[in-house]
This record gives sequence, structure tokens and C-alpha cells, in this order.
Amino acid sequence: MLFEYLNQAVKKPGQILMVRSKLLPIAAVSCLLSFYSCTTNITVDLPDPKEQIVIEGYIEQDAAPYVLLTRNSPFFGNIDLNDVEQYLVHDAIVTVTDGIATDTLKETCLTVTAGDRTFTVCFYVAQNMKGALNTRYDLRVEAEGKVLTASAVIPDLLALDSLYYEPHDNTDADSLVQLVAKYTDPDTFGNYIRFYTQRNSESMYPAFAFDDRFFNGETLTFPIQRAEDPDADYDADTYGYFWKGDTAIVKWTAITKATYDFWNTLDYETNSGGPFGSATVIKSNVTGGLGIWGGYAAFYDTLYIPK
Amino acid sequence: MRQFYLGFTRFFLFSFVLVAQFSFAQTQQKFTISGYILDKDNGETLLGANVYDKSSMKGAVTNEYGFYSLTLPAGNYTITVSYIGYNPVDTNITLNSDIRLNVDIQTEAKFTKEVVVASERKDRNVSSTEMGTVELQMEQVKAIPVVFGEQDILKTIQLLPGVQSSGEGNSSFYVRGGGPDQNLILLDEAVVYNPGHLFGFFSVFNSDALKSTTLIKGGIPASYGGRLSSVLDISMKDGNSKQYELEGGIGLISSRFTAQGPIVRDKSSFMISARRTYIDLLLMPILPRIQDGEFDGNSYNFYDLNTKINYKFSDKDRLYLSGYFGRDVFRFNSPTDDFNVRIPWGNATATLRWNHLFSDKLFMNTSAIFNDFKFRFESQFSGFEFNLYSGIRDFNFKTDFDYYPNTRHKMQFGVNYTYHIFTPYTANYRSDDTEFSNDSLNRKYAHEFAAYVQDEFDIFKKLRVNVGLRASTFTQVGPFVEYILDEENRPIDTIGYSRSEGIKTYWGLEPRVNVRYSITPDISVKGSVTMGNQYIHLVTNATTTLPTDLWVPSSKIVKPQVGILYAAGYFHNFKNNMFEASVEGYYKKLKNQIEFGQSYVPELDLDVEQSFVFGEGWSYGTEFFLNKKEGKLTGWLGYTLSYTRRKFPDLNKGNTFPARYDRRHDAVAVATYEINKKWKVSATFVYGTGQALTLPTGRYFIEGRIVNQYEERNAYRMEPYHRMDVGAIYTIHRKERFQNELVFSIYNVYNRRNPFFIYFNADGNISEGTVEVQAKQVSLFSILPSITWNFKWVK
Repeated sequence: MLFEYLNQAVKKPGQILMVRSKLLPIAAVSCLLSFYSCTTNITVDLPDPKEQIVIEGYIEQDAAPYVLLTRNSPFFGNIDLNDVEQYLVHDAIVTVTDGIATDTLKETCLTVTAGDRTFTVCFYVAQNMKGALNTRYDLRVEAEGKVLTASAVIPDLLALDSLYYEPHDNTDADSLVQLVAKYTDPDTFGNYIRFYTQRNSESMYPAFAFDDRFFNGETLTFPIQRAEDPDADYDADTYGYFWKGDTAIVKWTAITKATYDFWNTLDYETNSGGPFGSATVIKSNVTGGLGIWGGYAAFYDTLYIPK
Repeated sequence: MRQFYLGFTRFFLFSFVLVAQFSFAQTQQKFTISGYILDKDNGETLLGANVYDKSSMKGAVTNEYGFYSLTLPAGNYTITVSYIGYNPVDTNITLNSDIRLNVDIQTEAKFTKEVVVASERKDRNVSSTEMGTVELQMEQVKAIPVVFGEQDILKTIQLLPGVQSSGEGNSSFYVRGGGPDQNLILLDEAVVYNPGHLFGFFSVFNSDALKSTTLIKGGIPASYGGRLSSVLDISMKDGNSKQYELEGGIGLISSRFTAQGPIVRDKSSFMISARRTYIDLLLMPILPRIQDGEFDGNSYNFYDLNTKINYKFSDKDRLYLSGYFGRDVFRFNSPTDDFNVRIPWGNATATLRWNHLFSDKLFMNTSAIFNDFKFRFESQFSGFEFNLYSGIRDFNFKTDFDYYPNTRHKMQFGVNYTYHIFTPYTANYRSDDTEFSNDSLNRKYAHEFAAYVQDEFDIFKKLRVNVGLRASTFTQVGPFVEYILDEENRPIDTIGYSRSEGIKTYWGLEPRVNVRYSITPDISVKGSVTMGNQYIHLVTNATTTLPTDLWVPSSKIVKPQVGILYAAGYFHNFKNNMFEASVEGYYKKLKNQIEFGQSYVPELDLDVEQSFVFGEGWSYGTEFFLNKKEGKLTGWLGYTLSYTRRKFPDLNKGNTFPARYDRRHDAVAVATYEINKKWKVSATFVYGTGQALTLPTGRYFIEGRIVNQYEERNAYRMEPYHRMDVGAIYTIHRKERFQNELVFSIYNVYNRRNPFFIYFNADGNISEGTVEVQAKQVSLFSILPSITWNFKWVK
């Protein structure tokens, strides 16, 4: 398991740029560990957490803002998305204001199909409001006797210069290609990006978030790894690559520092562990609860990779 | 604290005036006996040997270069030289002028006949003002079993009360609630910043190359500074100045080889010692075959080299040049594509020393020292290249004087200057048409300077004190570009500093007092107060120490750590000093402690200081120690009860929390038994309260991912750690010219599965409702037998 971390890290030169320093020595140790270590199941007695409401809220330009409200739960126990109902917060009063207009978001339930299963998820969606670039939006949630507030800004758009692909460096793997992006960063500090990739009609998955301090104002080319369902089985040979014949979509969103901090700490926390890990507290911009209320300036680029 | 500080300084100055008056009050005609105490067989100077007048028991102790000076009234004396493990030597002298008396003493083992005369001065535990000080004999270290049968002084000192291992098999250690950076680890006076190979499983110190090791965990004398919790002072062998000697060992995972001998007999000698692991060679054929080749392409090895030469110009001048070079190298060459990584890291030190005797009473040592620790990460992947470098490099110059005005006083004073270069992270990234580097972002330069004076003397016969004062300063200097950041940590302005331009200066006075009151010749009570400033810091984000941990200097943002330690103890020797017993209590207060913020994510593009939070800490505890030093059965029992707390406004909602170093109970038993001339057996047992760590208490969903929620910091405890090791040494030959032996050891005899770390495994499918979270505990070393063959050949 430890070794997978390294493989993931080393398979992502783009991510090495954001190097997770604590991943580096893991391979060496895992090598040693594998000979002498043993793993046993133990029982850990943990206190129940303070009950809190979690906001997962998005506002994009030209789109209605939406918010998912859930509850936290004790650390142990079975996790079942079929039983998502037990985590959902209903009948909340959710409002978004841009300082001029205020919209009360309406609880809307959808039936989602995953494989042969269906379950219901309820969101709060704006009725009239649509996001605009360079605008601030304040969120207020009132539910179960709690009041949560957060504010988000949709920053200016940051666009990719171009998207192209290169052949796999191993000629045996000639059905795979490496996606490469060219991006020119504006000459001001404080640009933050979170990007997503999509292959054909599959779902779109987030890659990771980064900031521009390391390459402010520069033009850079770097490999774009295909993002995967975090639950998917890891395949070292195809990880990060696209196939010939694919249509690749990259969603490139500009975000604010607060949104970046949330995703950056979340990505780090969910990837770290072991003796070199630490308990990273996720930086939330929500007062009175957990989660994120984020503004996204979204830019899309699509590339067809011929057979 | 400040008030205390001033009061303390006044007391200190007053006592110095007192000393001066005492010194001048003496009028009787006196002469000085001085010289070096040497090992008869190899000419090595012996540190800590006792030299005393047999009738009055007045005496001196040799310094770290084996020099002593003893001033007595004119008359006839029998001067006894004694040292643990050596036969005492008596010399009759008539003292009517200053005398140079160099004495060669011989190890007990060399004698064939029974030794009747027992040394009479073994009561240093009780009689000295030192507290929390342990000198480890290398013979003792070699008899204690450790993992893989590798002899290891750092593992041995972890068996002493008040010293804790930082983790299974780890050579880094915590002393009395202080962090691993609060230990000053010196190898021939050079600071060793990272004492471990392979993430600490092996220490960088090859015990064949070492002469002596002293650990000071409390009452640190003013001659040492820059660290708050302890000093581990290690000296390399000078090299046999009488005859050539080859020594070595072949072990399970590494081998060692040492050569030493005279260059010019009794005048000049050399020592060279090398060690290398062959883990890589052993694993190479196996790796592709295990776990479907998952580990294929990995390789790791470490090696180190110790070397020393010395030249004796005269009885008054001696020059030493010593060096250490060690490297760990990890490589990964992907078997499936062209991705490759190379990670080398390690220490290098060089020390040039000049001993000079100005007079029989004034000894000087001047040293020029270089030391360097670096960590590199080099990776390549289809035209993309990424390199990372971090390190610390020091240029150090120091002069120390030992002054022996009369038998009552032993004074030491000196100055110490260090130029530090810190490179916390330097990264560069290169692809076909792009290249970035943050080379200038993080590098920092600093001057550190200290001067000290200390005196050890009897106020009256039963009351002996050691008072010292150390003054230290630290200045961060240019070249440096300071980024002024806005509230979002975005640089809005820069301030440039030119070369050598001062950026921020700190200074501090560090008074030290040790007091010993003898109740009887066998019983004493001692007390000490030690203040210290620490200007450089090691900050770690992991639950164990790693070569990637960063050393950072004090700066505008990072303030020096300040520590004060109060200790009191009761010391009692039994049965003609065969047993040493002590109880020591301590309270330690630490200010300006550093941790990473609770939401810290490593970022290459941000000065690492920006991620720190600051707070305070304290620790208190009691240590019990019973040591049997002589006889067929030797060893010790130790027990520590301690509490270590931290309080940071930005961590744990500002509430007090237990430090990672908090260990309630810590118990150790060490025994070595000599069955006969062929067999010597040993056993150790350790027990420690489980390590404190932070575990999630809740979870929630974001984008369908499970996210952990953390609340209380370090609120969870791992299972207690306990383990027993046994060992045996079988001497095959013990002849004058050739000796060899087999060392057998079994680590973790009863196969205890001690916790190394805990992780959570979620199994199943989230949309099928089958996800179960299971806590898993990883244990590192199960029962582990090993065998080593050691040899020694003397020409």
C-alpha cells in the first residue's frame, strides 16, 4: 500500500512540481518494511466527534450556484451511499447574495444511478441567480438550530494556451498518449487553479489544485495526468494516460486562495498516512461548520486524439 | 522569567568575585604536576581518568585530550591514576618543582594474574558536580545487543533513564521532553545534524572508530551551547601510536574495517575506518521476484568513512585532523518506463585541532571545523527533470582554555564562532523549453558567536559548585530577499539585503550552576539550573524523524528557543562503589517552540517559515537509576516517570496537549554476565508508554470522497512499547596478536508486535454499501536473530 503512494507520486511529474516531500522516502522504507513488518488489525477506541454540518457549495460563471448539505459522522462504521439519506440535511434555509440580489436556494432531489443501484441525493439550487466573474457571493445556511456562513469570489478567467498530446515514452505502449498543456500565467501573484479531466463520456474527475508562486508570469508546458475515480483500481501501466481515439476534456478553473487552501489541504490529507504522515486539519472557509463554499471561473478545452 | 534571569546573573557575578578572593588568599608554596594519561597498548589519550594524591584524595580529572593538571603544596606524594577498566598505577614523587608526569595505564583484561588493588576513586558519580552525565565505555556498548547485531552507541544511550527512542529502531532520541533538534551531537567537536542511516535504523557512528562517548542530559556545562536538552560528545580514536592494528567485522547487512597505527612511533598515528551495507546486493536478485515485482527497480545502500591523523610536535603541541563522510543512497529505476529517482543524503565533517600547553596550568585547544549535511532528490521522466536539494553547512572556529589555578579550582573559558548556511529547500524543474528554480528563495546565512567562562571549585569541603556563564548571539545576514506578504501570503513587496548585511540579531545570557553537597563520602545531593538559547531548529511534520526534516535558523519570524532546566538529585554509591544509585527530578520550561501549522501542506514555493506556528512547552519527571559497574554481572535498571506538554495558540484550539515526546513510564533493564573467558551473555528489556498521536474522530463526504475530521491533538495513545533482546559473545581466540569473536544476538526475543504506526484501511465499494474502515497497526521488526564475526589483529 505504501508503495502505491510512491508510484502515484512518481507517475505524476506534474505533481512532483508540487512535490509531497513526505512521499519521497517511503519506497526505501517500504522495501525494508516488506521483509520484516507485519500488519495486524487493532481496535481503536475513538470518541464521537462534535456534530457538524458540512457545506459543499459551488458557484461558477453563467451557472446557478448549488449547495450540498451533509452531516459528519463518527469515524468508524459502515459507509453506504445507498443510505446517503442519513447524512443529508433537509429543510435548511440557504441563501446566496451578491450584495445586490439575494436568492433563496431550493432543495431539489435527484435520483442517481451508480451501477445497478439508485439512490436519492438532495441539493439546494438557486432559482434565478447565475454566477459572474469577479463577483463576491455570501452564503448563509440555517438548519437544525445551526447557522453557517461563508463567502466566495469567482475570480477572473485563466485560460490554457493549448492542449496537445505526446506519444508514450515506451514504444511498446503505443496505444497510450500523454496529454500536455501549455499555460501562460498572468504576471501577478496569487493565481490559483484547480483542474479536472474527462475521458469521452465518463465522469469528470478532479486532478489537483496548485498556485503560481513557483512560476508566476511564466509560460510552462507540463503533462496533464488523466484523473480517475478515487475508488477505481489503480493500474500502474495506464495511470494518468489517455488512449488513442479518446476525446479528452480539461476543465481549468481559476479559484481564490481560500478555495485553493481547502482543496490543497484536502488532497494532501487524503493522500498522506503512515509513519511519515500527519493529521492535517482541512482549511475550511465556512464559519459554524465544515466544508467549502467556492467560486470557480471555469475554462474548458477539448482535444480529440486520433487513432 | 526575566526577573529570575537578572537575579541569577547577579548571583553568578557575585560568586565569581568570591572565587577570585579565594584564589588570592592562598599563599603556601605550591607546585604543579601535569601531563597526559595514555593507554599503554595503543597510546590513546584517556579522557575522564582520575589523577589524585592517595593520602588526601585531592585530585584532577583528565580533559577530553587526556590532559590533567594538579597543584599541591610541596611534599612527598603517591599519585594514583585510575580509570574504569584499567589497572590503577601509583607513582611516588617528591614535589619541589613543577613536574610533568605522563602515565601509561593498561587495561585490566591484559593482566593474567588476579588484580588485588582495586581503584579507590570510582566515586565520581557521587563526588562530582555533574548531573545527568553518563560516560559510555565502548566495551560496554559492544556487549549490548541491538537490531541486526550492529553495535550502536545511539541505541545504547536510549537505554538510559530520561532518554527515549523516537521510534522503533530509530537512532534519534528525545531527552527529558525535548525535541530531537535539542540534542547537540558532536563527533570530534563537529556537529552531526543527522545521526541516522536508513531513516534512523542505524546510527552514523561506526563504533570501531570511536574512543569515548559522553551524554549530558542535565546541568550542561557552559562550554557547550546552542542546544537545550542534551549534549552527546563523541570522540574518534586517535590511532594506535605504538603498533599497527587491523580490526573489523562481518555482519548480516554490513561490514566494517578499521586500520590504525603509528606513522612515526609515539609521535604520530593514523586511523581509518570504513563501513558499508550490502542490503542492495543482497536484495538485488530477490526484488523482481517478490510481490509481482512491485519493488523491482529499488535499491538502497549506505556507507561511511572515519579517518583521523595526529602529530605530536612536542609535549606542548599536538595537532589532530579528523573527518567523517557518510552517505545513504536510494535509487529507483522504473522497470516499465524511463522514470528514475536517485536520493543521496548524508553528513560530512572535518575537524582540525591544535592542543597547546601554555604552562602546566593552562591548556588550550583551538579547532577549525567544517560540517555539512545534505539531502538531494533527483528525478527524471521523459524529458522532465526535477531536482530538490536541502542542507546545512557550517564553518566553525573555536578556542577553549582549561586553567587549573590550584586544586580547588578548575576553570574553563573560550569562544566559539560559526558561520551557518541553510538551504531548507531548493527545487528546480526543467522540461524541454521550461526551467524554474527557487534557488534564492530559501537560502539563509547566519553568524553565531558565543563566549563562556566556568569554574568548578569547593566552597568548603562538602560543598562543590560549578558556575558558568555563556553569552551567545546569532545574526541572520544577507544575501537575502525578504518577501513582504499580504494576508493571503502573496508577496506584495521585497526587501533586498546585501552580502553580510544584518537582518536580525538575537542574543542571550545563559547562566549555569551545578552544586554538589556531600553528606558522606558515599552519598551526595546535587542541584543544577541551566539556561540555554537555541538558534537553529529542526522542524518535522512526520511522526518519525527523516532526512527530509528541515534545519532552519532563527530569523525575523522564527525566534530562538529558550530553555531552562531545574534539576535536583540524590546520589548514593554502595559496596565500595560497586553500585551507583541515583534519583533525579527535573522541571524543564521551553519557550518559542516550533511546529508546523495544523493545516500544513509542504509547498516548495513558500519560505518554510511561513508555515510555522509558535508556542511553549514544559516537561517534568523523576528518573531512578541503579548501576552495577563491577563484577561478573554488570548492568543497570532505570525508570522514568515524566510528563511533557505543549501549548500553542494556533494548535488544538489553544489548549494544552501532550507532546509527541510525552512518555509517562519508561523502564529499562540491562545486564551483561561474563560466564567464563569464552562466553559473555547479555540481555536488555525496555518498556515505554505508547506514543501520543492524533487520530481522526469523525468523517464526512466531499465530492464523494471520505474526509477525516481531526479534533484533539495527540489525544490517542498507541499500545505500550516493550521488547527484550539477548546476545552472546563467544571469544574464539584471545591472543596477544590476534583476537576474534562471534557475536550472536536476538532482537525482540518474545516477538512482541510493537506499534510503529497506525493507519486506516477502507475496504469495499462505497456505492454498494460495503465500505468498512479497519484500523491497522504496522509493526516493524519481529524476532530477528543475527550473527556477526569480529576480528582484531595487532602487529
